[in-house]
Amino acid sequence: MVKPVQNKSNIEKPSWTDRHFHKYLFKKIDVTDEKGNVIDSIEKPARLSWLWAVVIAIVFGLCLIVAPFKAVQWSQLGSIFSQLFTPSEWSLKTYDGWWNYLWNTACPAIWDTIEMVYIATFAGVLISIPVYILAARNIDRNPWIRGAVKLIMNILRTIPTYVLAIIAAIFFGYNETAGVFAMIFFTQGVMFKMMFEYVETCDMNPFELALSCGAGRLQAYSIGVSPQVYPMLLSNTLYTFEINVRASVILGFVGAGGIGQMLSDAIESTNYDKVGAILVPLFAVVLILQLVSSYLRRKIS
Amino acid sequence: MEKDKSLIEDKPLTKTEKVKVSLGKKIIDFTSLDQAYSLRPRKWIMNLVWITIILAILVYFSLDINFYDHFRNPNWTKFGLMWKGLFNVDWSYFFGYGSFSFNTSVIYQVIETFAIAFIGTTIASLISIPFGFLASHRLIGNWALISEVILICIRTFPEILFGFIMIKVVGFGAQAGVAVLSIHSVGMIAKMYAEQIDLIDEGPLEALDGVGASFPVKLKLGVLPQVKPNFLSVILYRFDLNIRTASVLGLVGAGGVGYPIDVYSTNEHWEQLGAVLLGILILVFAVDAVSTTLRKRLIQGN
Repeated sequence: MVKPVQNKSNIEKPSWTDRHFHKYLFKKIDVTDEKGNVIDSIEKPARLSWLWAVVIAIVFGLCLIVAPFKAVQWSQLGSIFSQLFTPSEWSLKTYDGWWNYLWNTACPAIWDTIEMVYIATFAGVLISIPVYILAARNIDRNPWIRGAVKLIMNILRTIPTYVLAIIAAIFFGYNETAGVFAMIFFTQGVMFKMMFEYVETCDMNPFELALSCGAGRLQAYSIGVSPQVYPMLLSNTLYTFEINVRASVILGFVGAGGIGQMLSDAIESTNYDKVGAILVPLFAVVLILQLVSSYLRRKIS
Repeated sequence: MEKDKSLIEDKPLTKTEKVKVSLGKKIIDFTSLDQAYSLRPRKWIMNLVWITIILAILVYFSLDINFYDHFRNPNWTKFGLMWKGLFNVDWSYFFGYGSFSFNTSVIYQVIETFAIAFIGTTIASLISIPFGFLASHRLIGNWALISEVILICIRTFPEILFGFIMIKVVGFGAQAGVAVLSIHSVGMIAKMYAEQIDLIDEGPLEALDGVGASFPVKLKLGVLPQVKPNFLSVILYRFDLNIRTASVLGLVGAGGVGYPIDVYSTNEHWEQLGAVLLGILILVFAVDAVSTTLRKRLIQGN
């Protein structure tokens, strides 16, 4: 006796969610004719937005247990701002001292920060170029290399920048070099994420043309894909430069040099007038950089 | 006939013309392939100039901040100690038993960080809705500039300084973090809302106009279905960023995981530092993964 072979692969097994939650996920609607007889019944996906609303409300409520609302003293806001912009008796004394501090101490520190950011952006972008080429599906055909690169980059990107800065500060000492290293990793992660998806959407015809003429894959990339990627690379570099300036303020708080360190010192020693004197040029510089970078990026693209 | 001949002839170029062509300044009608090739734009000259300038600035800057001096003398012993501590995690601190109570454990602080980010993002996403509509050029024309300037100022203000100010207003603890995030996130969320509103398709709106729908109905049936998935994806993206920001705000004392990181790294308690870093990495990784998958599903329309 030979048993007939059952072809199981054709029969689709209902999934776990289908078996248990199908009646909640879909709404049954009967189709009737003019006399009211049921001809057919169709299934319509049920509306689940109320479920999401309930879930969010519950999580919000649970979060409120940990961080309950508290009365806000708005009157304090005025006093803190007046403390920021009036020189106090024990630190800067007069308005002349305040302006002097702003020009001769705060502005050079911001210039230092910009120097840090320039080095970090340059190095980070340079490192990211081979990495995103290796991760792009249409350039690199080896799935193992692609997977490994993506995994490593995702893990690196998860680490917050100031954690990298702490580790770098322990290694290089509490100075600008530590901040530069933290920002190199950060820049490289951001660039990688923005660029490799862009490379995958490029027009591949020039690349294949170069391949068919006998070029190697790298040569074909440089002649066929690189010109398409170039404007995007430039615009993203400007963008990361702008983000890095903002990030460098935080890095200073863990001791990685630049304007942030000066700010953190001023806050810890309760010299709030110094905080104000640093805040004004910092705000101006970040604002100008943001406007210039967005203008240039619009021009490039 | 004569005209044709003159076209075929190779005209030698003057020296100034060659320079202009090499800089890509002038377009010339080529008379032969060889001439066209000899006149290909010499972009490498300008590229070389740019690269030289960029590298010169780089060298000057790195000398100015003594990059190499610090780079040459790393502190290997301290780094080794820290490395050992990072992998010998203090589990009693992580879970809050033994000499640590639950309220000082890493788990509690991680939950607090999550709570700050969640409440902050929720409030900010609600505040952003009117700001987003007010910053949309397509809806209200040039008046949107006022709202845009406000949003740029909010975005530009360093969040850590904002945290310092909010601590004075609200007091130390998680509430200051919530206040900072719910105001600071508006800058970015509202800007992205406005971008999405500017992109909507006007077809459904015209159709609703045609059947005589009122403004709220138009908003409900014409605008909301188009922008809802994008709005949610913006909120999820910002939530992902806010988790990081919330952990940073602890550095100035606004609750969350940043404060213990600061304390233990300056006091060189590496095993506790390892526990905190593990906690924050798990949180960031989990939120990043969830937010990425949800955003992908939202944009694909599931």
